[in-house]
Amino acid sequence: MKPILFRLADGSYIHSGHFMLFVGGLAAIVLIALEMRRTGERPEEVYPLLLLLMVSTLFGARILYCLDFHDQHGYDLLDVLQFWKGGLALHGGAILALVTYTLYTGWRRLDFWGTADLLTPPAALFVFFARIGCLLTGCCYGKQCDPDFPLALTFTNHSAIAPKNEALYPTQLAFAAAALLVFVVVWVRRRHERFGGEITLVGVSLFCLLAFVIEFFRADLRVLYEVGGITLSQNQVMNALVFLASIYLYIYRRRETVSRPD
Amino acid sequence: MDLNLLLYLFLFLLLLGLSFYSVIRKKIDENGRRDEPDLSTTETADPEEGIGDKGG
Repeated sequence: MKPILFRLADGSYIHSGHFMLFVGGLAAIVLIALEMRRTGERPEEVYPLLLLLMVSTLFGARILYCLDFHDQHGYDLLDVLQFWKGGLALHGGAILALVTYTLYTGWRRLDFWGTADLLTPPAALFVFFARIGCLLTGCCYGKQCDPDFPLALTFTNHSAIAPKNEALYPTQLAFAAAALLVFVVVWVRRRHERFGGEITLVGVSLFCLLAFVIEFFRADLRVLYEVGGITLSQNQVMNALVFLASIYLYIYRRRETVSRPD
Repeated sequence: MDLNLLLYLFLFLLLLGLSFYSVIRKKIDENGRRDEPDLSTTETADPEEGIGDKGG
């Protein structure tokens, strides 16, 4: 599509993927600021948390990417730190962000599930923009498909990471659509929440389920596992585990709320 | 400087600014509340003791 958004006369440029992460981050901050007025969450606790989440997401995503591609590129510590220069793996970002979130909410004695419910819709919106960035960059591309497939994507830009001039499944668009669907569901649901954590658990489980299916059509898979005769990617294994954990927690918290209605 | 890094720096500084702003605003609100006189415990003047009664 368009991996380089624009290039200045001195040769410096803005990468579409990083730009869409920037737009997604900005949209998420605005949405959280608006939602805090409604929920009454304390901004003096939430903004520092967002700052830590941003840093941990970027470094987590970069660390996992460098680990996955270490054999091919031999990344050193400086490459890992320079996250703005290379690829990111969003699952790594999610893992480190979760660790940071758990430590921070424990330290500041914040409501773990209440704050997570506040952050879930903006996080879904952020993922939507991030996946549009994948589309523009040409990463996270799909397997080859029938050229007559109506949604097939063909990358022609020489800077794109995806194979050029081949009809591919539009996995980036599918991921973006999944994130947008999750955003709409949790956004509508947030005013009818029955227990703390419902929004988070619905959003996470729905996205993991959709992402698990979409990954079957993805071609740039890195680490693969053989599970019960089926080849699953690293992301699919993570999606499956998080999906099961979310369903368990949903049932557990819902039962807990029913048994203790106060 | 790398333009892509500038994008992230902008977000970082925005969040840092919002964090400081919200903490300072909270402190100002708390101090303002502490400086306000507590009207519930202030002695009220006797309504029958008018200003004019003390004159002279």
